[in-house]
Amino acid sequence: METKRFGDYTIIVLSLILCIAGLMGIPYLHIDSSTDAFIPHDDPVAKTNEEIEAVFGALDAIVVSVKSPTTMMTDENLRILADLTKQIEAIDGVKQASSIANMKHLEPSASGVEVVTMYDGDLDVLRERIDSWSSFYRGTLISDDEKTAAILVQLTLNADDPTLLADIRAILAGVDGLKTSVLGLPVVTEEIRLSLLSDLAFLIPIVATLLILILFFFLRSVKATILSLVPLIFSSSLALGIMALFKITFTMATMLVPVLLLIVGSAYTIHIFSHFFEEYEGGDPGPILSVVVKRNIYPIAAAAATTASGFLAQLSSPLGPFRTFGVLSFFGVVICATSSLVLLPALIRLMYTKAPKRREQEVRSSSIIVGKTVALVTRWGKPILVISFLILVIFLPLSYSKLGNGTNMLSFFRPSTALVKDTRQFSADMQGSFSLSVMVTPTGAKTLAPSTLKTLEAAIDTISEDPYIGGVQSIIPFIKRMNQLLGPGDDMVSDAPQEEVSFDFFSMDMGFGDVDEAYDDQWVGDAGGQGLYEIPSDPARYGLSTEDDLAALIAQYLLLYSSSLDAFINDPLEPDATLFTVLLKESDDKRLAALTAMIPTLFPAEWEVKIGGGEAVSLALTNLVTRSQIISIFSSFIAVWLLVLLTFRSPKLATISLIPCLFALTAVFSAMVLFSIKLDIVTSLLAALCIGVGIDYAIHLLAAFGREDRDLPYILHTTGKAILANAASVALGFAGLIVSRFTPIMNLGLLFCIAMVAASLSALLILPALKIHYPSLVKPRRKAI
Amino acid sequence: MKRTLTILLIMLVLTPMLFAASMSASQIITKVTDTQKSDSAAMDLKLTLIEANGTQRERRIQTLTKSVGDDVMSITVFLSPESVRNTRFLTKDVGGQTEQYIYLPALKRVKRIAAGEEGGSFMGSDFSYADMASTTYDADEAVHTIVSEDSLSYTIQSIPNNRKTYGKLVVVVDKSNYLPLKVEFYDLDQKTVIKTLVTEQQDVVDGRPITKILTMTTLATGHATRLEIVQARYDMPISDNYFTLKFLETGR
Repeated sequence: METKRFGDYTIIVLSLILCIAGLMGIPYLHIDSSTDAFIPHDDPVAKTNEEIEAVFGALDAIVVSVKSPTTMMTDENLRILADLTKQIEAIDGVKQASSIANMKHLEPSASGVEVVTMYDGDLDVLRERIDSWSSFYRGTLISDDEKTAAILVQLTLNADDPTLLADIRAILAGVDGLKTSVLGLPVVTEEIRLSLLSDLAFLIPIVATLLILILFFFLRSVKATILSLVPLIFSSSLALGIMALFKITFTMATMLVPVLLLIVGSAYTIHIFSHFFEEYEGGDPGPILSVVVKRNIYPIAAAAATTASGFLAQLSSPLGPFRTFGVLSFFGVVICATSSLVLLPALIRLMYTKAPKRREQEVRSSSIIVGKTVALVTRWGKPILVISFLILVIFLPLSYSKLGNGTNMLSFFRPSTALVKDTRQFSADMQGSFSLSVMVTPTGAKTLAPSTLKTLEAAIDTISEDPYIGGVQSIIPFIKRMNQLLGPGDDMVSDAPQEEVSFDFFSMDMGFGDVDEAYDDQWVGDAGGQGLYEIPSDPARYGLSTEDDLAALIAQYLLLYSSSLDAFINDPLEPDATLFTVLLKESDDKRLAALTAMIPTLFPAEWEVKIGGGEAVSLALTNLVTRSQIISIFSSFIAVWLLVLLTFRSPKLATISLIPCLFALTAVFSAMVLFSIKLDIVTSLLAALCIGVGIDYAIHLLAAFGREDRDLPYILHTTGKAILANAASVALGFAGLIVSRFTPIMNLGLLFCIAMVAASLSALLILPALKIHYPSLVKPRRKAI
Repeated sequence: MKRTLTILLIMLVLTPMLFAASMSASQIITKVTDTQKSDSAAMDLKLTLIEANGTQRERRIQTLTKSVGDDVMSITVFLSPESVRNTRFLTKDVGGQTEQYIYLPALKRVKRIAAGEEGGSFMGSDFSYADMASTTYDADEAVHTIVSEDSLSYTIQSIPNNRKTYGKLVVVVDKSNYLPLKVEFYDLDQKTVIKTLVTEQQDVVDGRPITKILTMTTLATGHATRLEIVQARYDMPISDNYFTLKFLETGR
């Protein structure tokens, strides 16, 4: 007895130490809130983004929107805008901040060009300057209605986004009378990081509270409820500790692990307690508990094995965080099941000396339900089977084919959130805040050759035709503008001066002649701004002979711009690649897929066209998620089928056991179509989970059918009731996810509830109907379980 | 350009006086500036732009500079790449006024242009226009402090009075010839090093020490630019003819 007690205390103390150690790991969790965390490092889009960033700098810009209810074009508002721009530019990690108030503007002068600050205190002049190059300024820095102005914030590659965003927000907090908002991918990523932390802080307590209610409902004892929670908290804490210890990135997928363990594990503790209460009459609980544990090892191990194998099937996913999720959940479930069989009995042995009160009323009410179910499947069994079969055959493929997919990060948030509303408003007012970066390497051609630039311009014109495209930013407007400012007027080519001399200061006599002051004093240069706003492409118009000469002219224009065009060309003089950015009004995966398929066709086949940027990541992720979903469904089915085959030694029963899973999937996919829920990085985990959890119901019922001494009412009264209890606890536990700040996790909660209802009901209706009408189908080869 | 390209690169008049008495930071910086001063200079420069992935591009320019008191005139001719060959810049800092002109060989025309931004990149290199003029602040442009000193060098911290491009410089000065050995350029926050300039080779031309090869690296991108003085001549008589619109336009 004393030895036993010592053993129990040892188990409890060890578990407590591990639990505390696990919880202490929370501050060390490495959180990655970007969708980049889901993209494999060798994925083409990840490589393209790396390549683009190495050449053209950070892709993820931040936009600060400043909106006035009337107009931004007042001295006071422009002063505020200039002030904000200046303060933002001084923040660490900001490479450049540009707004209509501080931008440098090139304008023609009497003998060339002049660089002026856009706004120098004169509103009329500012408007003139905007209108002189409105295709560039409007929609980018000021909206057409002049109510919204943007501050474009370019970041350095090593910028610390959270600190930088906090600094920007602190600056904006001091603005009165204007509505300000911060937008862009880094902002969305930061919001996700904060939401992940918030979910971790709120979701676990909410799910735990729900579980307490569920456990209390089934166990009707505060003591039993608290004790049942211990193994769940233990395994969840341990999972968090493992993540911190092994530096497993805490993503939207892995953050679900502790929550899932709480929910899935509750079934095991309910199982142990309900059997214990049935047998225990008071006194030393040790002997009864030994029997209960021994009897439940197999069912709990089998249930854990199927659930864990459903999780483990995620190992086949192409997405890293899903594989991590799978492994972590697998170990979590194993720990949870083991602690239910070891830690929980140790706690019970120390805490119980008296038997709890029995509940006769419940037995009666559950008998009525059982009776009605038996009557239903006896009388309507065959039609139920036919209808079920039809539902499966029609709705499963139909709903799956209609599933929408998309992993746009903004859609992780509810449409009512400020971030979503501000982004949508900005997209409506300006060119758009979703972007796609296209790097074009014109193999075999000069980037600055007019024919290359014309091809680029034609491609951009085609892309811009789609109303969903807000604008395209490229090198083209700068070249046209420089040509307009510096290029020759219509009648200025014939009087070109003498032949070009080639000289070398080191081979010349450096002391020649007197200064011809008269020449300089009388010199009058050509006025700027006489050229055409075009890509110079007709050599004759420029007094040149070849396209190479024109390419050289363009390079000479860009020599003056060399410091500010590095976002568009990889070298100011002889670039071999150019980047253009497509700004999208909305992020829609289907249109994005069509656009990314079309873009390469707009260029000669030998040119290299690489598409990157935030929206390309989103699209690549969507494709990976869809692939992952298909792979994980099949691997989960195969895993659980093999496991059931191993249990029953019957391929027939292994196949029949998949029925509740198929109904769960049908219900989930149909609900997704009905509620327009997209397949995304979280909801794509659902299918494998449904299979892992849903298969248990079939296993329990088929095992019970195998016991020849038990009739159907008895089976439904015992096993059936346990299945309902389990489904209810899992469904209610998942319902807690509905309070998540993330739409996909919220959807996951809702869909899992639906899945559990579908899986348990289909198991309790279809399998008994099969037993009554086609008993040979559900008869196991051997006595099992 | 407030100051011209060549002032930096003309590493003139070696006066290797080894002061026994300790010098103040300002005195050291004044020596650094004086060492690099010249009345006139001609230089043939090769800039090698090195991408983080090792890809290299070459630029070749020649410059001619003449200083008279505070007035500085310079002409820069681009020799390569081919597309900008013979493009010429004329800069005149005369009487506190800066005038800049560009000759575009493709159009065979001179255009007056506005002064470029000091912080802007020079020809796509890691040097800004301001760096090309000078990589240290003059004694009166910043507050200079000696951070450390050893037998070979002084380390001076310079905090500019007018923080436009950099928040702080840390300059390691060679005690033997007062040439900068290394310069760290700090962001406006005075904490983050954004670029480093390292002297790779020194030389003596016309009896004066010069920095022959130096490399500027931008830390955030890993991009670097190696600047080599291929040929140089200092303090020779140069006609004002070179710094005229006529020469800019005709090359004669």
